Amino acid sequence: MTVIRERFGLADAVIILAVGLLSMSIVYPFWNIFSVSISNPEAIARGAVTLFPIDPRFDVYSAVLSNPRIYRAYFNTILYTVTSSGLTLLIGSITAYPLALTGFQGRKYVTILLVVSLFVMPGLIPTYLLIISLGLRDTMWSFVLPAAFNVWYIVIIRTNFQAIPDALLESARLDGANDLTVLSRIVLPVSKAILATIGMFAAVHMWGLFFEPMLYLVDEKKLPLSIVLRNVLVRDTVGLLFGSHGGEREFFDSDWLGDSSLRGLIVAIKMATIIVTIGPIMLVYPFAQRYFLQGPLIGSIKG
Amino acid sequence: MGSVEHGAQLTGTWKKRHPLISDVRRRPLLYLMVLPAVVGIVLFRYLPAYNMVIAFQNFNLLDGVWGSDWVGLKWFLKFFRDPFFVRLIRNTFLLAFFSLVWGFWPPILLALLFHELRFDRFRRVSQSISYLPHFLPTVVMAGLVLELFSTDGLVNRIIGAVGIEGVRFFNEPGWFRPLYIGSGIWQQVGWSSIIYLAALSGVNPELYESAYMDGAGRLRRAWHVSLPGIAPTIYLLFILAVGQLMSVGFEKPFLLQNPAIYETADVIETYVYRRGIINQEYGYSAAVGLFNSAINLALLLVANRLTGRYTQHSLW
Repeated sequence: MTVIRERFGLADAVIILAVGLLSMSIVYPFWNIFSVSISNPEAIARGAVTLFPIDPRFDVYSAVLSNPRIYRAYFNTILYTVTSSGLTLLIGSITAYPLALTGFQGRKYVTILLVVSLFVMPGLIPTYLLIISLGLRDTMWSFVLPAAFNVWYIVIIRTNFQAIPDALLESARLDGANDLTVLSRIVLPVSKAILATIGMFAAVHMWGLFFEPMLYLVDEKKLPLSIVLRNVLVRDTVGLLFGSHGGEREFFDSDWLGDSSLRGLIVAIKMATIIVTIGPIMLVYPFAQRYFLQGPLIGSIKG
Repeated sequence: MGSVEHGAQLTGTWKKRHPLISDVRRRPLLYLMVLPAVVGIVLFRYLPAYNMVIAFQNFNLLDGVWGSDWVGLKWFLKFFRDPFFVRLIRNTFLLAFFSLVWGFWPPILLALLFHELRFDRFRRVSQSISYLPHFLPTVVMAGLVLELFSTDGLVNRIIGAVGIEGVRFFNEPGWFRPLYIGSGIWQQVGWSSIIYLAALSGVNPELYESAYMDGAGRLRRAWHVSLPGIAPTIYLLFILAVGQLMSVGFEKPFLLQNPAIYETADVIETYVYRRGIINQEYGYSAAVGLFNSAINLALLLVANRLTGRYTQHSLW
């Protein structure tokens, strides 16, 4: 067997340059957002913050996190995410288990029902009218429940369950365990990796979900972070968070603010809101990467 | 995943009945376990499909789906005569089409670069970084683009510094597609490269070695060994992408658009939202949505047919 031995050449330099540029184009915006979020508003308004924060203070973060509209939304998003993730895994496992058993006579019918549903595309208005007529409007179930019945997740979990050796399940059944016990005591513990993967994808989905909450939620107290973020970032209504346009100023040390324009402060608040929103994803990501990376590959079994 | 013969495992006494009924009696727990999913799928997937009939009705909320008058194809004909009909079809199609044209090959290129990158640590770190934007919520993504390209945003400051006149990116229809597609590539290129990397790791190393022995350099090895090695994956993903050609999704166009750039930024889904949810023209907007769904379904079925030719596995 030969091994390819080549010295560092032009090709390596080009590859490193290209990959390095891509990485920079991703890291820099995040770093810049963070730097801006803790910089002095006056410097931000001048457009002076490029790499390092100027006159850094964390006042913006305390103002953002102590804002009732934001921390309430934060709590809501956590509640919706945890509920959705848990429910998706529960439905996924109890559905996948019978479907993975060869002797299960209902398999054919359930499978057809699931697969055909992938081709049914009712569209926005019919779905909206149904959710309204079910009385789910202004509750988290209007978007948490539909997300929990995810056919792809059921298929993926079922495929993983099928790989578990039958002997393992049989020995438990001989001891008199029923199917729920077999599922919870034997099948689920050996499927931790796939359950973690699915749970995390469901969580990321719900964390960023925006459209359905916008459609169905009415009560301002129930809004998730994504809607607050839209008001702050896209509609540019930072002032409303603090009661009135210009109300932001009252939350800050006037010496630090100086005569700076409101614009700089608004940008800092926007950037801090972004950091606060994506923070949990960024913190979990390095540790959970091996689960995340399963995503596109387990998805490929559909092909 | 072979299907089980009916009644194959059952004893003689049960043979008279349908095997399903006897199985339900024998192991009711299993059926109880699939019940929530069956109910949920019927409720959230099939029942809304029933509501699609309002596309043929003079629907109002008081009379409901059962009581509203039938109007035949009225709403469809209205849509075809809608002054925005051509614009909506064009915008929806072109946004998806150019996303495919510009967005399909960068992940392949990136996968080849990662594959050829010989410094393991650098590769691992840069791979991790490249996947990260995929996990950004759409609202954050849209907010970043709006901020970066705003009149006093970073991009305008940079082009201002080199003496070029500033651009009001979100007031000029011509800039919507480049910004939408460009930000989409930035967000997805790393993530989409994963599947090609997996395919590349399956290419027989001996092929590289014999190409090397024959004097092929790295570029030629990439061209003659790597690319043919992942060609089936490329075909498959391309066909699947074609199946999505009229579905651009709602969130990102909605968040990036404003009335000044509807000329290029208004797509079918955002139009359905405005007419249906905001204006409450349920029948009309349902018809527009149904028209879009019909095209999507046709494309999906064609794509599914074609993928069957490239892989031995079908959907199940």
